[in-house]
Amino acid sequence: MMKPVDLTKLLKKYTSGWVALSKDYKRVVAAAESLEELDGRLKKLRNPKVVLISAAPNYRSFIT
Amino acid sequence: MTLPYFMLPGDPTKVLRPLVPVKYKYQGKETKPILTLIDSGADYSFATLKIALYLGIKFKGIKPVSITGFNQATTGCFPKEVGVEVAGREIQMPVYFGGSLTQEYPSILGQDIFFDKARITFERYNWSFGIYWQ
Repeated sequence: MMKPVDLTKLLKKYTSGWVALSKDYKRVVAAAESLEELDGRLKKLRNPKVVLISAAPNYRSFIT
Repeated sequence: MTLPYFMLPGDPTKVLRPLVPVKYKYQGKETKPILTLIDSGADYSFATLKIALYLGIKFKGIKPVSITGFNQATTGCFPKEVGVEVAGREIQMPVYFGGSLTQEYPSILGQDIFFDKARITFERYNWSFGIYWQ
């Protein structure tokens, strides 16, 4: 069985905007309200390789 | 490519979703990889206007398309052909920008065109899903 990537602890304090995660999903590299602002913060960190996720308090109850 | 589900904060319980990193590209500009929901129940692929604005996409002259949700509510989206890099390949496909996407899932990969070009499998019992390009 494959192990899911658990982001629950990392994302707990982020409820809006965007969060940049390290590529191994083990830490938060930066966070900001907008993609442009996040770019600025990542630039100051010399543009590390990241994966973005939209921050929200609750990812449950979604239907399409 | 076999990929893991992601466990996310949820109320009352945590929630598991098939998310895949996707880079959106348009006229020389691209996003960082954004965790995007793979949704076989969606006819099209969608993304928030925030992504369109970031890429510099202009919608002047593009007629909005009415999209109906499961509760019969309709919303307008602006389709635009963009580059989508996912699971090791880049394809050109229409993405419908706007609508009433939730904050939790600002980008969705749906059936048209993505499911035409790859075999998508869901093995939730194994907490994995697959994207296998044709």
